[in-house]
Amino acid sequence: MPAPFDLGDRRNAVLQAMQSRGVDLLVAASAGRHRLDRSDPVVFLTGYRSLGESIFALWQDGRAQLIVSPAFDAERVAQWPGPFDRVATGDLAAACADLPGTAARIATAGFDALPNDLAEALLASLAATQSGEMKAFDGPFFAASRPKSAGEIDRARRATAIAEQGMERLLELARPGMAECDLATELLCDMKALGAEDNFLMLNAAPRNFAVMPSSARRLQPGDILLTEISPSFDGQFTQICRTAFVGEPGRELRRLYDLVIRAMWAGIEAVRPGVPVSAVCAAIDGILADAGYAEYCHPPHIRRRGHGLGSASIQPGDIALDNETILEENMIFVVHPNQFLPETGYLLCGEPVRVTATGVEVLSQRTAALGAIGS
Amino acid sequence: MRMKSVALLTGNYDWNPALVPPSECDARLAAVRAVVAAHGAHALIVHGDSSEYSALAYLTGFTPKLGPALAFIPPHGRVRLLTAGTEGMLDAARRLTWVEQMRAIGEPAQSIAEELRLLSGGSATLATWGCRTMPRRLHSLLTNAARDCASLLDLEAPLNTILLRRSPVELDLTRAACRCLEAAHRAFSIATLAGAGTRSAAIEAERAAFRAGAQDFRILASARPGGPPLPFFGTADPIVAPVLICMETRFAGCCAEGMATVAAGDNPAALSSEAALQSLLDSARAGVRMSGLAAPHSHPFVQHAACASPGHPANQPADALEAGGIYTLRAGAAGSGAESAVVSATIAVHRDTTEILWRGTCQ
Repeated sequence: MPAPFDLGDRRNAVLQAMQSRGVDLLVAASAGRHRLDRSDPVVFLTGYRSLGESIFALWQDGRAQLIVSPAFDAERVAQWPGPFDRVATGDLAAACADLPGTAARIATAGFDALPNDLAEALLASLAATQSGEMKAFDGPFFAASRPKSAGEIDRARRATAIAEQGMERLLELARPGMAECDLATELLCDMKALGAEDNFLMLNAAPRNFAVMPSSARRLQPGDILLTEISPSFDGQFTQICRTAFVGEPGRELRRLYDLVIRAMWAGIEAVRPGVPVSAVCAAIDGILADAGYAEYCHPPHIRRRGHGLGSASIQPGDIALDNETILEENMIFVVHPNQFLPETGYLLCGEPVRVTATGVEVLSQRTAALGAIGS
Repeated sequence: MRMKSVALLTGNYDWNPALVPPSECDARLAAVRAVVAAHGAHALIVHGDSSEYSALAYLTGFTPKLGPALAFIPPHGRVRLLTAGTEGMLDAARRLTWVEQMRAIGEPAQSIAEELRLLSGGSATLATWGCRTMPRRLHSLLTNAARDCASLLDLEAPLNTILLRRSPVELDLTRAACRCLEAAHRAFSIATLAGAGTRSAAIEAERAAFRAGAQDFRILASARPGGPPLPFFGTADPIVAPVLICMETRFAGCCAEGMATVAAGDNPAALSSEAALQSLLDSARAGVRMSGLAAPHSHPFVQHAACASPGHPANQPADALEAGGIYTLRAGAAGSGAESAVVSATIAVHRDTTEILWRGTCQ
């Protein structure tokens, strides 16, 4: 059983946020769907990835209880370390009925992501035993502790190393005639063998792409531009690298334009440092592309974001977008990806996971994006 | 596929008319429309997402990989789909379904309101299916959008009943899913008996399932000798004997699930489980109620026997075996320490016979 990562400070930060807002009891919920681009309140506070839905209850006096489903997960949760009680159940709503006790002010987090029937049952169960107020606490909850823990940072590094080996494997395996999904599932298994337990692996190819997408049964053809977002999770922490490869020998125009998106990516990465708003990273990327004459392609529907946080605990600092004014803090981790549509070539992908350091930025990948070639 | 969440459905989910022909799609649509009309509803809204998509995929072929999707089923005429992702992703989404009318969900509140107005014609009763598992936030958007133009009627239970009775096409696809399951089971067993750790064996099983054509494959396995089947987190790769496994796979939308015990040795619980499963199989036939299936074997270790319909969204034990249904029969036994075992079989119940589609072993 892996040791828990340093979550005590995070729980204390959430406790302080509760105390400053007069919250007696926090009921944090997980839908059990551990995703690249979604925060999970239970993983955030405990590191525990439940099989089904789960609840973490935190009282203002520091007492805490982890309630997971299904019941057959009892043995695993019993061994999970942490200063809290543990329960595995097949009936989460019933198990939560006694949580409120004398708590008058209850706050919730993560309920909007729960299946509606379960969320309603839980809320009814909590409300039935208390007469005070109950309100959503998601904003203050995740804002209380934005950086990754030391454990999460280590896991992000290991996940990134797996992603890079995955890309090497892709270039070895891919060949004309191979179905996208056959390539993707082979890579999925190869990266699991390297230690990943999950992977948000987008992979598609066409002479001209309009987006990066999940794989289909389409077969690779000479002249295709293959796009991939390789996003393995190591022990619950996702990473992402974004890569482009040409089936055959890429021509001069494609190389020139790929160099442009690479330059844009590095401009974004170089803008990363503590104290800077997220929007500045996006603006730096947009600036390079606009200077090259592609300003009209720097907005929806061509591009929605220039990167994003990496779950599954917390996706802070959120989307790398012009409307995100979140201030970067040391040890935030996110991916910077221009992922740009250009009229001459279609969509091109490059992106690297980065950590905000005390003075600047650390790129977690060792072999950063370059246009790949798949033998024809 | 509820045993474990996955970040992205990666296998082949393209709609293949050679496997699921248009006549099958039409028949499913007609059956669903009949239930909707019988309950006095004008039209139907069907929800699915990458975690629970049984209803949506059954009716439209569409498996939502990236987020929620909603199908709008008028009483006559064309089905419409709202899918997650951008307009640029619609090319990929179109490969997954026979439905032609499709748009990206964009701003959900606005898109859902527009589709509801189109479907209801101003005011009507709209049935819902698959909406109980909808995330609460999306459910709020749906109910708010309906407030001005429709009343919603939950038809989850009667529509789920349709899924229990399998067509000949579905039976053939389930046979194919069981072949994927068997490929995975064999690969796991070979790797384990050759000395591999459970994590390595599970990866071999997954690879074998995909190579056999599976859309998806998930597996839980014991982390200690005779322990309950659990997911794999971290890099631990223990050599475990006996190892209990629980597998799920899917082929062209049809699900197969199975349990087995590998490296069982002379574990008496394994013998009990096998005997209990045989008893269940001997008495399984159309019309038999669960309570009428043979009692668990008399060995003191036998703890449970269960029956369920694989892939069914309700995921509840079946009350009775019905002709046209596909069921998983499970038997398990546990003693002290490593003395435990599980095993299951998947059966198709016909009017006069019972066909074993897949059978696990304790080996």
